[in-house]
Amino acid sequence: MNDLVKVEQLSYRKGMKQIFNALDFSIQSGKIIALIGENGSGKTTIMRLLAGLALNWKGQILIDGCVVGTKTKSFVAYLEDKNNYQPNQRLEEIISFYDRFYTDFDKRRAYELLRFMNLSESEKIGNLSKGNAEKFALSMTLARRAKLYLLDEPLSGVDLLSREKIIQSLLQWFEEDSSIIITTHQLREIENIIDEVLFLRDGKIILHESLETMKEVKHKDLEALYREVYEI
Amino acid sequence: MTHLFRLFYSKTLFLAYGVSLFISFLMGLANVYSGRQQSVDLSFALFLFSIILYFILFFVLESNRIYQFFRTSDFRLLPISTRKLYRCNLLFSGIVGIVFFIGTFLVSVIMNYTIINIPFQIGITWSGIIVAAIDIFVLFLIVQFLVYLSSTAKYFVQKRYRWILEIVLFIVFWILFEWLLSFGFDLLEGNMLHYFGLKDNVYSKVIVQLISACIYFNLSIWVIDRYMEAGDR
Repeated sequence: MNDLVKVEQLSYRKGMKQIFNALDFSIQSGKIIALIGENGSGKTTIMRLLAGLALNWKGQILIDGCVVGTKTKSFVAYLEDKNNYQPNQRLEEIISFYDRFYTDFDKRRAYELLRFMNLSESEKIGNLSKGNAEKFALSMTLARRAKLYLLDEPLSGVDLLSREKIIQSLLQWFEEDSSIIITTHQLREIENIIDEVLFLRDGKIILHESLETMKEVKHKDLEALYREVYEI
Repeated sequence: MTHLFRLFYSKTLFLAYGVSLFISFLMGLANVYSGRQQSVDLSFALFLFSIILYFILFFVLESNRIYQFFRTSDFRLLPISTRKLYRCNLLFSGIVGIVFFIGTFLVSVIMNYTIINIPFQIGITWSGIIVAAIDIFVLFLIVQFLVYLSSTAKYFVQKRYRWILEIVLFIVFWILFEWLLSFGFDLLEGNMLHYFGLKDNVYSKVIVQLISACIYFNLSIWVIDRYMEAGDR
């Protein structure tokens, strides 16, 4: 399989603070990857760099062979950890916004996802609960037929049933030729859907493991491995 | 391009322009019903006040609108280059600015001159109007650039010293603006005018201002792309 994401010698500085220094990793297409790390380890920053929201990095970030920038934004779908929708916007207005600007946006799939999430398109964002707003934001991300999906904390602050719904939607609408990078602290819930895991500490990838190796060779679940990696 | 304009549209923004237009109208109304005899000086003062009020509002509202646009992740994630987004934003500001300027101008002239039979005379030529419009455009680009610079300064300067930096930045760029303008103007007037056969020095001023506009436009895009992160907390 080809590398969908290739990060080489990535250095990134924010103001006076060095966030990454010579970071390397690659991700193949067709995989669901969990990006795991403690708070402040740089997970969201990696997502933002891959999404093209910050460009003052050094090194190389390639997505499907293209340097991160305007072009990659057309096939990378990014779900931020906080949604930016205006509270007075109706869901259908946001759907039409995506439809206007993203050529890979599938309107029919968006409505399917809304039905799956039990959301009504005439609802206003401000009237949705946190869980429903999160489900809607995820629906908009998954409604794009993107090559790479970046999901930053899609399960945080969401109740159990909503979390289950979100995970079900990932499985149902995930396409084999795309990849998902997901950051979360809910390790048990994502354990059954991921293929690989990347452990991040202090701006460095300290372990890149496939779930198969983790379970069959190391005989450990994700939580046990997390403890091993982060407990000193 | 029109589908981008829909992103820039804001009810609050238009309401603010509408209020400014209404204030111009009210001031004119006060002049119309003034008990004392209306004078040319008073009419001119009210007219000038309306225009200045409009420009302050335009600079504050439009600078903030464009800044907030580039700070919004949803817009920055669009597969459209920053150059195109910035260009369209400026065009939108230009269209809105011209429409409301004409509105303010007409309301002020009608209320302060036409209705009370005071002859309105403006001692400016068409070329003067064009130069003034370009001056305002360049100043707007400079203000934009300063807004982006000061927003990125938070990563490099402590919060308590940031206001000092903003003042220093403004002074430096104002001096630079004036100096570049006069330097370029002298250069063109001395050499290029003769070379290109331009007889009127208005042309040289326009050329210098357009070069400045290009510089500030590109610098702003560079700062937005590299240092102004959207949705960053």
